[in-house]
Amino acid sequence: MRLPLYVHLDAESSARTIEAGLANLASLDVVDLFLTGEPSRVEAIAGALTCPYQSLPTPGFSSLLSPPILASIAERNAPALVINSDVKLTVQALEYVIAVTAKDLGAAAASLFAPSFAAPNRPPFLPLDDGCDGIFAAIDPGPAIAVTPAQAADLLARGLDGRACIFPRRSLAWTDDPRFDPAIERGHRDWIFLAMENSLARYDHRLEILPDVLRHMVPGLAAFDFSVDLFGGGEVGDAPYLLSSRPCHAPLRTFGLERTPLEANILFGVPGDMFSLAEPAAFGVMTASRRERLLGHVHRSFDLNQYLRHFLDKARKRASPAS
Amino acid sequence: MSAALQPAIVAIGYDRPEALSRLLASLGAGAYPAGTPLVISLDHSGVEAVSDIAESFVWSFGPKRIIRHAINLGLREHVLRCGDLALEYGGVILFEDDLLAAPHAYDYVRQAMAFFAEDDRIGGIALYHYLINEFDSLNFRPVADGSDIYFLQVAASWGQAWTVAQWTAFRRWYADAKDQPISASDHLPRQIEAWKASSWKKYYIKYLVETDRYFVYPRVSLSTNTAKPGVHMKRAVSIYQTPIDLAADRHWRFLSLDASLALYDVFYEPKPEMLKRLRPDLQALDFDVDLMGSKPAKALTRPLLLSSRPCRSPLKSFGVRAGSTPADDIVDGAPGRMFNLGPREAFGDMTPLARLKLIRATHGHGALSKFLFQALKPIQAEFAIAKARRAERKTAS
Repeated sequence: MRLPLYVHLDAESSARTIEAGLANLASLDVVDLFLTGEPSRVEAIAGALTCPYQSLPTPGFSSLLSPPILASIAERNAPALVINSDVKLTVQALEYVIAVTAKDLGAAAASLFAPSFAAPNRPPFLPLDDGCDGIFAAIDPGPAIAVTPAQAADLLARGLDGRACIFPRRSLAWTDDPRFDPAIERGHRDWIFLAMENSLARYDHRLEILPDVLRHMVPGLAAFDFSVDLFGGGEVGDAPYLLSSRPCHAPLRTFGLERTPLEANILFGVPGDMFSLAEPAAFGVMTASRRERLLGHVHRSFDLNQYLRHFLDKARKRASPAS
Repeated sequence: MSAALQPAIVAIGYDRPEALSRLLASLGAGAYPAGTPLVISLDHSGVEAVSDIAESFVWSFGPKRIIRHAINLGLREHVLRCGDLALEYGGVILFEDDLLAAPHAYDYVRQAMAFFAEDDRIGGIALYHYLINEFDSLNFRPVADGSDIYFLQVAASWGQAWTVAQWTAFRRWYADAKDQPISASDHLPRQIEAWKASSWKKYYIKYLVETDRYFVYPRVSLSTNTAKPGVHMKRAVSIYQTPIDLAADRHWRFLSLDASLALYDVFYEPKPEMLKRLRPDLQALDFDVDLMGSKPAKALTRPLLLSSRPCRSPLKSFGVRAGSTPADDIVDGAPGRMFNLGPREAFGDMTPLARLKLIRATHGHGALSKFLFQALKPIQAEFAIAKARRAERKTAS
């Protein structure tokens, strides 16, 4: 099977960057190469490429999932890969694309990037590990996307529309853009994927765990219709209840902050009062101290003040023979 | 799966009834084949509640046995005796009382024991996955090699398993080594010298390094450390908490030592052979690796060095990328001069500025706090080493 590969050109694109991006493919015979983007860019680059290609100009579209590309994929009988021209594929990228598109997993598309890039101001993302190599999240799939013909037809009809894409736990591609995790997958993997409905690693557009996962795993939450705001970002949603790290004056359920990732504290019923389930009106604004506690926890930072107190106390005792 | 591979689970208790209760509850919530033995081994502490908890705990998966030691053995001797139970049960899985087990820990251990049964370079099987380097608290992320495991020359103490062969080999070594001092000149982190006499782990680490063996570590943890204050923990901290495996039925993807791309030494530094497998252009070079610039001079013996220390005449240089790992930066040839490969004698000492720069590049948030911790920890270690030496001299006299 030859994989259709759509390379989207922008102002920075050159024949050299494109060929560098494809250098890890065993052979260019494994792909049908399409150059997409503004017609002038396609024309300028195409003549300089040494490998066979087809042109698919997409005038006026900057998105990878533009209607002309999706229409082209939808007409074919094999999954396709769509990348920006500055993306470099790993040796394992095609294996991943074939594996992740082999079955309908319920995702809108498959990214080749791990989702650490999704929210620059957000703490590091540490997804639950459910034995599956994929994570579902309703975030932008980034600059390298695998799409099946059925997904392409669906995207053409209704766009992403807040639906989740599937992401690998380690990226199968990289760029020089510092938003993307450079620590890529380097080995061959027997890929394991679960359908979205069976996955525990399901996240919303802020990379907050979906309430469904918590309801499924925590019997005490099953009866509640709630939104999740474990990072205390303030987005409330329109559910009658909220599960948040913000201060709460009338909690119905509370959970502590001990385990990692944050949602594990809910899953394992850790006692404490960092997270509360309550009506949205019962929550105040996030405080700096709570925010700092959360950040220190997810960054695994030593509490330096506590450490210093312990350190200096020892030194004081040593210096004082009377003690 | 061989019927013989039914290691005993050993829960180790001392004087923390609440901690033991939590550990047992996590074990009781797991999945086990019928007949799985549970041993609760209690060192003498005089705390009756610990014994009561062991007694009342219901283990419905197989035989339950309680060992109550009549005298206080101390942690090292207690763990050694628990390890000896491997000979009786065909293998053991040890959990100290400040740990929590993942539901499918037992299945992981059985699969790992079966996969590595014939490889005597494996010194043990860890259930815990490190997110940080235990010695310097900096982030640790092994290179992704398609497998579910990595290899590290640090003995696991936060959930670990041994087969009969693994334990017997260690015991044979320990019989001669137990009276020998342990120091950085054994190619170990200086900090280990500060560990208490009650530490069994420092011996096991020395054993791994001296005999070039490894622990197998899972990339997703089958245990987590609640780090409650105890014999070796002064303050409650959450930095050792690690995500545990939630998979109900996992086929673990193991790789042999020879095929792995994730081999790390006792300093959590990539082994030279690992980098050579990932970068064939390094194949012919004979070099030590000290990417974090923290190895003692005695641990650096090869003609070339790959390090973040300042280098006068580098043969190759590599940069560091935000969010990456130093090993990944080397493999990808990241542009820059953070890491240099050159003749060993061309390197100077690590400077505080270079260390801060490295920590900022690799950690981002909290880099200053981590840097200050890095600066203070060696001083604290020196105090602890001096104290340990005084205690040794006192004992000797």
